[in-house]
Amino acid sequence: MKRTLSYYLQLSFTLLICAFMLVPVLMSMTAGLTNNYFQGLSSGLTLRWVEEVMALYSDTLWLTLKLALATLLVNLIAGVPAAYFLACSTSRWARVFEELILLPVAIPGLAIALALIIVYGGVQDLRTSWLFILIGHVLYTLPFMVRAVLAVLHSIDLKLLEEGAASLGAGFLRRFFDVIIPNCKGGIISGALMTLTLSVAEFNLTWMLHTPMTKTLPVGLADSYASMRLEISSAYTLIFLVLLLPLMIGTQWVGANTQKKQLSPSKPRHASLGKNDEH
Amino acid sequence: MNINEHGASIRFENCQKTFADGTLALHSLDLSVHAGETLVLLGPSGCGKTTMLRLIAGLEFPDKGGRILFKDEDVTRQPIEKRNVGMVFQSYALFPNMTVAENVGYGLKVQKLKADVIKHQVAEMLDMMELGALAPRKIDQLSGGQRQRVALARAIITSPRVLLLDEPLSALDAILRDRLRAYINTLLRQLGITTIYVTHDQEEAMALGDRIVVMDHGRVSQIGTPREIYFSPQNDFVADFIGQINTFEGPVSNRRMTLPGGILHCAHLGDGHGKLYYRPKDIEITARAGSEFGGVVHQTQFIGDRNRIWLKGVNHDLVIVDSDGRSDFFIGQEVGLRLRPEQMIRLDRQGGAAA
Repeated sequence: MKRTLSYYLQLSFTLLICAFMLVPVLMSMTAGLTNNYFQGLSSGLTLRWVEEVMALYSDTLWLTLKLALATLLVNLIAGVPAAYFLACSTSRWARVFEELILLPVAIPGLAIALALIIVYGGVQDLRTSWLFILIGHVLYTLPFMVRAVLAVLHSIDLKLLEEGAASLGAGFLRRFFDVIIPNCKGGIISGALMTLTLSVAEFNLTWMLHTPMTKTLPVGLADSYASMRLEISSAYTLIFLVLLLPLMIGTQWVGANTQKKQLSPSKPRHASLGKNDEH
Repeated sequence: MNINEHGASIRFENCQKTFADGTLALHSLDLSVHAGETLVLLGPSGCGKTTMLRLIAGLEFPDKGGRILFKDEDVTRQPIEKRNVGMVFQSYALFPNMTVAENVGYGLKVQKLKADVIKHQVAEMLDMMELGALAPRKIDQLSGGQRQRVALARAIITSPRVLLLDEPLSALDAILRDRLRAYINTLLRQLGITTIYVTHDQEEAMALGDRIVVMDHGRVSQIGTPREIYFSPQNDFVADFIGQINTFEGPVSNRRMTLPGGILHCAHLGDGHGKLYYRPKDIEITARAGSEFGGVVHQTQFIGDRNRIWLKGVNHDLVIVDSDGRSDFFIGQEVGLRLRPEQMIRLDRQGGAAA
């Protein structure tokens, strides 16, 4: 195939944009592994800075992981059943509620944090605990979990599947775990990855809610950018990326996979025709 | 009729169903279904047949005062999972997250039977339904007819007291539908289980039902055997809904009805305004000359085993006649008609057999 001039122009433009976004990231990553950034790579590569970061900030790393997993746990326990009940309900209030839980996405994290501090800030034990940040993270990430599961629940004939299971003698809990959960697995997984990604990277809210004893990785990062030498903050950034990138790639991968599944014809469409009989 | 202890008799007492939006889906109804009987609920969409099925299933509950009994047990307030019914849904409701074998075995798993017992029974059932080779497949790898058989197998494996089928064949194409209809027929006779079958297809209803309940606008129009329903419909609606029928309507005097096409004899009608009903295949075409009743061919269709002919000038509407496929007619041809009184369909409001 003969390639035209416009093909090469487009290719170089794309590469230029990629470089524009990737070069700073790569620079920063190498900075974290270089002995002395101002002398350049010729000063030699080292893991010294990474070790130093681990010594200084490892507690922020563990707290971040703990927070992300706890947020995920709460979202699974609260978000999946919430999505189920929203999908089942035909009431107008369910639709209103569906929109309401999206609000934290639209409101700046700083404002949510401020509201939390005004309401609960007086409770000393809570204010100084990591659980305070957990509340913020759940508020912020729950909508993503609920929406992801809801999207799948809306795409399957939930009521019919439940009636099918009930006709075979399955009570509510059995139906929920045997039929509902497995059939919205895709939504739960993508919601879970979204939750982890958002929680790990969350800064606005967390910065407002944290105390010196409850610092997460992004908050620590800001701290190091302000007060540490460039190599250390770069090494810190490197650790952050190592944590975050797999989550983001996973989210993309699951998203692409579920889309493919939905595009392939998995049930005969005509089967649901004529179903409007008496409903 | 095949009576079997597996099936329970069903009794409806004063059952009425009003939906939340105030629609009266089913008018107050008393009805008995014998144990082992196949009862077909037949009617156009919106007639209340599906509502009635869902009441029996326990997916809907009757208005206050209504009772539903299986044998002698009052199940009115029991939800579906407590009633021990088997149900086949119009769009199958198979579980996409399970294989064919897992789908079929699910009811047994819920009953907490041992894994090897389930495995054995599922294998037996799949063999009987000729599904053995498909056991490890996922539902989305099956054709429509295969899904239907899996749904049936899943519903009967638990030996339910009542089998409920909600338009199980309507999603299939015509050839497959005929084949599965015969299959279901054999299966139901074999099992001898009390079966409620919902359909809007009158052929299906007649082929499968021991008795048919014809429904219209939330009311029962007629209950009877297929023959009673076909040959002695109790009202216009049933006569019209079960098969094609020609309605001759006009003034009667002196036991003769005067129509555009001539004079029709009707010994049983008094003077005034009367109606006569004839099925297309019961009208005989004769030569125009010498007959006192006839019309002009408006259109013909050769369907192989018969000619279907539409005639004008006989009645106020076109008259449909089925005649032997070997004779040939052309549009505009003048024909005579012979209508034998013994082949007349009488609307027998008393419900007794008359033909």
